[in-house]
Amino acid sequence: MFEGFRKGVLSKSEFEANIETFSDIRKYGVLFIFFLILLFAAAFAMLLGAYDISFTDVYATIFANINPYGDVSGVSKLHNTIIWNIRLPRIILSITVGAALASSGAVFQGCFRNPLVEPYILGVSSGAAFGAALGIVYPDVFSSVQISAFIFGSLAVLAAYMLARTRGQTPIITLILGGVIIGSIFSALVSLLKYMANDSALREIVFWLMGGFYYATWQDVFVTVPIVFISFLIMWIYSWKLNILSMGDEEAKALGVNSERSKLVVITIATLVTAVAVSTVGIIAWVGLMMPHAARMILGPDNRFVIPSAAMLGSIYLIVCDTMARTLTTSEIPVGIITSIVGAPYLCYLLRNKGRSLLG
Amino acid sequence: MVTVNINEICFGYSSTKILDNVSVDIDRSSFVSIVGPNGAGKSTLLKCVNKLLEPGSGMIIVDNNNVQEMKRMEVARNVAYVPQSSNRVFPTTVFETVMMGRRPHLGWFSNETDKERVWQILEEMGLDDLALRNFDELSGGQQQKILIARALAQETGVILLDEPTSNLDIWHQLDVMENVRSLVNNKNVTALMVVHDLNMASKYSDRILMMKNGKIVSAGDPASVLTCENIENVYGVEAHVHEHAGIPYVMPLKQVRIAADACLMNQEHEIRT
Repeated sequence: MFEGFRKGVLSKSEFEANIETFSDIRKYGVLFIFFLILLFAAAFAMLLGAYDISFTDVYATIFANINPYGDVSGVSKLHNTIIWNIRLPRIILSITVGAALASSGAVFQGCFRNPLVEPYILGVSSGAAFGAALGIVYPDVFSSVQISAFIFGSLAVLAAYMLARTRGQTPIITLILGGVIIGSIFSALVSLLKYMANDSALREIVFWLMGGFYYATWQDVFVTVPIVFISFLIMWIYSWKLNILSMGDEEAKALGVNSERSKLVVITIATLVTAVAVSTVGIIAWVGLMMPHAARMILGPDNRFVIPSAAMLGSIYLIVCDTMARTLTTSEIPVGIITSIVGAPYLCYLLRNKGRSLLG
Repeated sequence: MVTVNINEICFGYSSTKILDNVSVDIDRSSFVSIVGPNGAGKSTLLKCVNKLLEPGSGMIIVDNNNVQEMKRMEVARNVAYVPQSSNRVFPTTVFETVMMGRRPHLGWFSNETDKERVWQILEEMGLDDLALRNFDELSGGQQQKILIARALAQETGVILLDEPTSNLDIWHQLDVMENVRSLVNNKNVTALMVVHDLNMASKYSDRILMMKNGKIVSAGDPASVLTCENIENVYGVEAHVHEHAGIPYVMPLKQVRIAADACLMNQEHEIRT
């Protein structure tokens, strides 16, 4: 368009009238396309699985369950269990977790003004891992692995934040360092627990650390979906402040954004969703680092578009990876392994081709 | 008429005082330069005016409102700030950068009138050709003009500029100063600028505040402030001041003494803020 103007094809007024509107409309269009892809990926993933069920049977089962007047007894009990109680919650959970990790990754990157930041940077994953390991090794004391993982994940970030706060300010460098320190302490504690654990507990800890959706239930869905959805909305509302925050504290203040308070809000919310995601499915790498970059490459750095598009890309990516995890081999591969194997080459590509423009 | 009223401002950490009981009134639509050696408290004073720093005591009134009692968003609607430089991690275009200046008025949404407003400003400043370029790709002079454009987009009565010409060649120095001067003349903006170049300050400003060790030593029109005695007293530099077309020009000759240690200590504090 700019070229068109330069070459005199577009008149100045046409150019001015169109330039921003056009790009905004294009961005909303891209968001809509992502949404369609997400729906399609979810619908398609429903059809795939170790147990072969036909298209009509899959959707007959879903409609029988959704329709309040439908009759579940009409469909085979086996199909009902596989489709309604295993595949559907699992797919909904991968959408939720993907959105949670990717949107909080975008928020952390914007807030910390650093493209290499991921949602686990403040130690939430190490804390959650410790909590989960405690729950696994001492089931009598910590009755729920999930709750204990959530509590310790949140505690780790709180500790990092307290550590970094000086004179009413939380400089980003000290915050990241605080996260590194707390993270390494909890990692060491996890190693200690692994060392002390018996064989079956050790196996369980290792599987938890690799992340996976094997035990996805409707209960998980009911807990995570509302939290992630509301947090996502809050992060999206804060996206314009995040745009300003990414110019640095001083300029943000001069442009009317209370940087300390905004940072506290977005870090709290992003930590909350990450902790919820991690405590439900374990540590899944790469989604939170990569998807915001992918979103930025497609839609530019405006967080008002980066956050929703990263969330949808994260969901799509996790649906694809999780479907691979449960269909590639007869026994299941932890999804964290797949996200890393698929993700690393992508980041290599990004670094080689777009590194200069993206990372400066 | 007075727009900015700075009343007995003190600022400092523990024992060191960076601003020591500073009081000054700044008239509407005037161009005021703050000069002085490093560590004199110039930037600190500037940052107190838009609440980037909160003074330990004293009061700052902008357009009859007490700045300390205003919310940040309100301050941003009344006072704009042009930093010395701006660096960003994620590339933004010139248009987006200037649009940021509309945010204190808009919040999440942006509407057509605001986009037109931004275009108008870019056009007035001759930046419309650069609108879609990345901010980072541009030269220091262009970046500085874009930051001024962003401040303009805030539509405030007062614009603060923190050493806007320090990194620029003389062509761009003049360009930036001319731009600020025309804002003051044509848009009734009040400009308060920290500047090191005494001749730039002399050529363009209506008033000069000369600071040393957190105090205003001399204030008034360029001819009354930029005197040999003041320059030697404040900077420790022997200088020759001559007049050209009614404007005093300073030609530094030699150092009279080494800058006092106290100044260096103040400077350290200033950097830490």
